[in-house]
Amino acid sequence: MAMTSPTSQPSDFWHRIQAIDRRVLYVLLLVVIILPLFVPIRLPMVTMPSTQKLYQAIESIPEGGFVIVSATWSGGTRAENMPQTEAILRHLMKRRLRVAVFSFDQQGSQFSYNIASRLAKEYNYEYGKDWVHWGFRPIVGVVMKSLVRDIPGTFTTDRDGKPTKDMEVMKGIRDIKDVDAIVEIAASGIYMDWIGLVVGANPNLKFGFCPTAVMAPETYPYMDSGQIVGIMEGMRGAAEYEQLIRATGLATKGMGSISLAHVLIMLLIIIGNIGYIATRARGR
Amino acid sequence: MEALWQDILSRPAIYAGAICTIGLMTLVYRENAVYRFFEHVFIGLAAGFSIVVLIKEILDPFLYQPVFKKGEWYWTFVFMFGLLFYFIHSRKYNWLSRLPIGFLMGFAAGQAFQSFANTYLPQIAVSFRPLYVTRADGSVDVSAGINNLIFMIVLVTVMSYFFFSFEQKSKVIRNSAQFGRWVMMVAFGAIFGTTIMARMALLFDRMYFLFSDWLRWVQ
Repeated sequence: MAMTSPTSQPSDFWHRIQAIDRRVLYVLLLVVIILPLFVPIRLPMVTMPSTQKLYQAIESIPEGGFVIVSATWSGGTRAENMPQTEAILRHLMKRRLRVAVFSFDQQGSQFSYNIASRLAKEYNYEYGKDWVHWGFRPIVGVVMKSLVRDIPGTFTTDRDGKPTKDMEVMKGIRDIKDVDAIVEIAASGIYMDWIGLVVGANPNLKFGFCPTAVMAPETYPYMDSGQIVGIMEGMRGAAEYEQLIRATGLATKGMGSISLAHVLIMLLIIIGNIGYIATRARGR
Repeated sequence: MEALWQDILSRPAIYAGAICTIGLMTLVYRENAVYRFFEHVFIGLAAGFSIVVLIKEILDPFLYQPVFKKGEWYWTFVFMFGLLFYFIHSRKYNWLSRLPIGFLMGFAAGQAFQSFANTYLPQIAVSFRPLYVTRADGSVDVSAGINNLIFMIVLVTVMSYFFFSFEQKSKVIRNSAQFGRWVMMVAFGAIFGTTIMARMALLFDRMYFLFSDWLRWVQ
């Protein structure tokens, strides 16, 4: 809420609505977040073009195609990146594409392995044949430069230390030209490294990005230029993607709460500004 | 009471997660010792987990296995070169740490050239857009033309805002820069809006965890 001036009178209504105790706001916020958990609110959802494009890009990959999923996120952004990871992996497995998962983050490696293992059981994906987890890899630039020219040489072992070169999932995969798509799920600006070091090396490569919502606006120019084929924006993007692949996950469940919270924030901004304008008008 | 203990013992991780979540959320009321305690628990866990992953997924397969199991002893030199980083803590041998730092800086600088070209040259290329757009059948695509016009106006006005090399005396440049500033404000507003969305998502995730995974009150 707007700040009150030192000379203002706290008892004045217009001043008071500009300085509501933050604890009251937190309680209101908790109520609007929790309420839809018990009374589900299903609002119509329009899929944004950015999400639709990512979906179409995955759909256009021929069956048996090879896709790399990088899950560079940790517990702090689980709310957004976990539904994104699940939605993408679910789509890839539904389409029977070969999947290689890895992470530039230690926690992301574990989270993505848990999600992929669970979904693999659901879609009868055999480890080593249909999918592989390359584990955690440090130093982004080195790994990216290396995988452009030699993928089996970059990821010689999986997360458990097993050699990857004899795995069926890696059959025919030599360098970046054999990869159909890369999807990065991240809470950082790592998409710039992919674009700068990898994307240009294979003109047919589809690069999709799943950022946290806060990062999404800065990535639009790269989708506009075609360097990113599609973007799944935060939890909202994940909910749209879940709708496209006809699966209900955490993101879809959360949309009612998120929408109500947005309405509350908008109302508070309007109330605060009304108070501010009224105070200024009376001061003249 | 017995049922509660059984439940705690059957899913201790969920209970630990719930207690940590509630402990950290006490900050909403005010700064307190409980919050501080759980904050340190989280930092300790994250650091400990990182070390385990580093040993299991990096040092073991890329150093221990090749050197001690496969006899590829020459990797020891790479490891020792990396260890030179730690001389940064020594006053006398500090200069040794500059060797790996310099190596990495050289690598990053060389990489930056390629990265810059691949990232920004396509951006410049797609910035040149026709205002008169035709479809494949030869008809005029008015909406695409308007889109390109808006794009061009925004691009030029925002760039004019960043003309800092000379004083903006011309009224045209001044108004253009002013408009560019407004356009950027709209972009910042969009970023702020998505920031709120991101934060709400985090809160929802925690609430869902508490009410669904822990208390099992909702599905």
